[in-house]
Amino acid sequence: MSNHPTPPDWINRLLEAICDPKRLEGIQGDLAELYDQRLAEKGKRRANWAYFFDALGFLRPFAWKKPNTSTLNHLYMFRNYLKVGLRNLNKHRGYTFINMLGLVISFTCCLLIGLHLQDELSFDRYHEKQDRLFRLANHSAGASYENGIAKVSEPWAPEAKATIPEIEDACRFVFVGQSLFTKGDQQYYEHGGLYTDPSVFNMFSWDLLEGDPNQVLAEPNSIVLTKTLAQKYFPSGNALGESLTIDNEQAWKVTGIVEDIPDNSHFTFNFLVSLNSYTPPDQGDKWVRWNQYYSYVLLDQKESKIEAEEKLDQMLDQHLEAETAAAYTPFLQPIASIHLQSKLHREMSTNGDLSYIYIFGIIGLFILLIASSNFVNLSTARATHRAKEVGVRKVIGANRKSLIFQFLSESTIVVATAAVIAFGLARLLLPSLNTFLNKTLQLDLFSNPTLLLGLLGMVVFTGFLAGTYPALVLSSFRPIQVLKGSGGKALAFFKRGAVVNRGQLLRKGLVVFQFMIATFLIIASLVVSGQLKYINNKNLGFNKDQIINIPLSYPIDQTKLSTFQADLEEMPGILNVSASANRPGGSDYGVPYEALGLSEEEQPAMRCLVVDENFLDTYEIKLASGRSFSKEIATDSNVYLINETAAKQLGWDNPVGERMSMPAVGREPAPIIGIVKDFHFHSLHEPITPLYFFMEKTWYSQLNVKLDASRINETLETIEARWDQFDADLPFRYTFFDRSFGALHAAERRTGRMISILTLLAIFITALGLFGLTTYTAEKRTKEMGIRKVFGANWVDILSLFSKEILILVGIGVILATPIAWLVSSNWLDNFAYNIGLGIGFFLLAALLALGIALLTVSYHALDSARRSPVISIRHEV
Amino acid sequence: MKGTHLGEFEELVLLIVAVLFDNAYGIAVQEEIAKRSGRKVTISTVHSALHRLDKKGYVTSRYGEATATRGGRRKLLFTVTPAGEGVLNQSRKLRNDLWDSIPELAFKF
Repeated sequence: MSNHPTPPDWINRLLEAICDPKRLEGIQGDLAELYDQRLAEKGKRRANWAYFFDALGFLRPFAWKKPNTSTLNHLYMFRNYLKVGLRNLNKHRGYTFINMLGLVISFTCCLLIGLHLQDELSFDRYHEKQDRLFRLANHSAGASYENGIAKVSEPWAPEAKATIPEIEDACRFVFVGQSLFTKGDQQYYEHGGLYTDPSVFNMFSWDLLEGDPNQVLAEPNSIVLTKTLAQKYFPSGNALGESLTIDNEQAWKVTGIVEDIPDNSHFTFNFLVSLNSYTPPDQGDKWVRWNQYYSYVLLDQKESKIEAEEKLDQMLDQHLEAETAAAYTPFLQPIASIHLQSKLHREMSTNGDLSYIYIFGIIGLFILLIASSNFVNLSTARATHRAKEVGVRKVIGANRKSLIFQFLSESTIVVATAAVIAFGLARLLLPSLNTFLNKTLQLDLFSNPTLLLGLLGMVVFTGFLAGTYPALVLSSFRPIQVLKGSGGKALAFFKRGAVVNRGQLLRKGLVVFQFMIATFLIIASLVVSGQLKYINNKNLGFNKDQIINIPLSYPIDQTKLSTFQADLEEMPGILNVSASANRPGGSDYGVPYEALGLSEEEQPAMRCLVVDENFLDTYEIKLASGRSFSKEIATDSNVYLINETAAKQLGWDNPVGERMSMPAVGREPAPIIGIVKDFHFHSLHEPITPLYFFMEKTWYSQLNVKLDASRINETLETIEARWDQFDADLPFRYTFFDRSFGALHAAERRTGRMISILTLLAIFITALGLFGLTTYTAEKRTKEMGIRKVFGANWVDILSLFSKEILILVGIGVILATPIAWLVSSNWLDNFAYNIGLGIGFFLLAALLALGIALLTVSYHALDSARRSPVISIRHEV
Repeated sequence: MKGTHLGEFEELVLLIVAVLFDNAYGIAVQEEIAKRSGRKVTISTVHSALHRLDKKGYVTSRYGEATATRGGRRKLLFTVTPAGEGVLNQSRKLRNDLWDSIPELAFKF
């Protein structure tokens, strides 16, 4: 019998592992019988192979082991898990607090970030036809704005609708500017008005409450009010058919009431007036001049975009001179993409930025990951405390699955509680976030199923992510080793056991990971705040402080204006007064010019400021050469100043004395009399571009008044007192220039602040986790520290003992974070034409901060154990 | 429980279990199939079919006496249940009925 060949043992073991024990004997018996037959007929080798293949056939579901049909009362067990879980949380309140705090903070951040992102991504998607709605914009080769311009001139849209079959409908908008509304004795300034075509309600899904959607704006002098505005002027409620006087001139008939425009629109308005009451100034060729029309088209289907663009190009070829037509590239932007992706010249309102969406999304995820890491770390570190419980449960009959279920449900309870608290906290914080973002976000789970799903998903994700590993570790304990002997011995087992080593590796990995993220965020926020500080303090080349801008009505009474200006100049608190048509940071006229004697290539695109003699003094803009405008010289009404960049780019060797003209607005050739030093008349995103100045009294629309810083309030009162003599129809209003100019960087400033806050929170959660972890280590090593002290260790030794390992881990994190942070920050800085550059200082500072925070966190416990008397320490039992 | 439909191979196995009466275990069924129909099937296929018949309630299984030839292992023996007999009769009746209903002309080629 001993020499009798038997089938390969491993196959039998495989069958034993897989097959249902009830059938195993029959299966193996049959296989053995066949084996013996074949052994006799074909020899051992073939028999072995045949045995193998036969056995393979049994690896099928019918033969598998059946799951243990457990007889546990699940509900009862769940109640037990809950009870034990809560007791455990209560017993280790410190850890529970650290875990909860981290989770609550991260959930709150994620909720608020999610709400913000959801809102940003929802822009303009509420229009029923949004997938077919496009904005018609134009790119002009060689223009100073490289992305193109958001508006086009008057005939483009109607002509496109008439001649291009793919374009079903078109609608144009023109800004009304601020207007004075009069209704009875009520008189207010209203802004946010738009001239528009009657097709507006066919294209956009704004809710017209009263009025005929096809007819509301067909008649000249028709006006559609938003609900808010209608209630303001017609509190009794019957606005339809009534009339309003606008700008003291004409009566406008209210033909419709529209629901207030949703905030998630890339433009908004308070009233609409019929476009056929609008007369553009006559500036020559209508196809090229007066690009003031925001034009939207409705395509027959969204796929025809490319075709429509081609046909638009052909349309321009027909109507424009060949040269201009070649330079122009009309293009269509899907309406839903405008808010986040469009960065054109003269957008209707400040748009968001897709990259910020990514940044916030990623930061939110980072914070969530940091808090989850804390959870995993603290749970596995404390696994030893629950070893006995696991052992007892196993002995009584818990299988691994039910233990995993227990620990997962425990972690889910913690996470779910944190989510509930976070929800409440987010609701509390929402109003301040709304103020900060200038939005009206709402946190209402029932009307926002996406958010509800997101929150639930976050709970399940975090609960699972954070609970799985501890559950697997804890459920893998062997009951005999855990229960044998004292707790101390069980602990010794864990110290030696492979499970714990693996756990430690994971813990170290997570610490590295957390500090990597924290360092990354530190570097990012340092760079952002550095850049913002740079922008705020950068010498703009002029003085933006203590200047107010007062809007003037149109047209201007020149004699009254000069009297008023003279009056102001004499006031003690006023240093300088200047009238102008525009100002730095505001709109700039794209009026074409001609430089005499220069070829086309030698004439760069230029922007212009339309000013008076005092403008340079008011803004303290310096002259580089030549002279400024002068009141004494009569011919100065038609002369030019240019900036240094223009002087460089224009083809003249010495521009002063050369002549330029503006035929489009009827200005005859006139000399350039001086060159001003370059100054930043736009945001620092853009490099300084060529610029010229000229005086045109009839264009003036504002006063720029430089105030004496010591008596601003009194001066403002004096100006207001004098205002009525100058213009009784127009209420006195002003804005501070530094504020409106600062608005150019408002988005960065907001983002910068948000990033700083989120970074602080991330660092806090990281430090919290590290604190929890060292609490645990310190507790475990109490005895060791006592013995070390007996042998003469001082506090420095103990501190270095505690911090050495942590500092190495943090160091690795810092090293890993540096290249990523460098890449991301340099990318962001490239957005600015003028930036601080990435110095090594940022990285050193960030590394120092990360290490410092880690050291500070660790040293609390290190110093605590160093101070404790060894007698007490050595007696300590874990 | 899945349906109680009897497949073609299952019917064959069930009949053979009945034929073998007191000695219907895996190998015996496999050999009988080979002998009677010439079909070569693997032992696992036989077990799988027997398992399905068991689940449908047409056979029961029990372990027989220990044997020396099988490494001391017992045989898993199968017996047809009354339900098994019922389903076999039903199937046979269906066939007979069908044969009886075939018009004579149908097979006159």
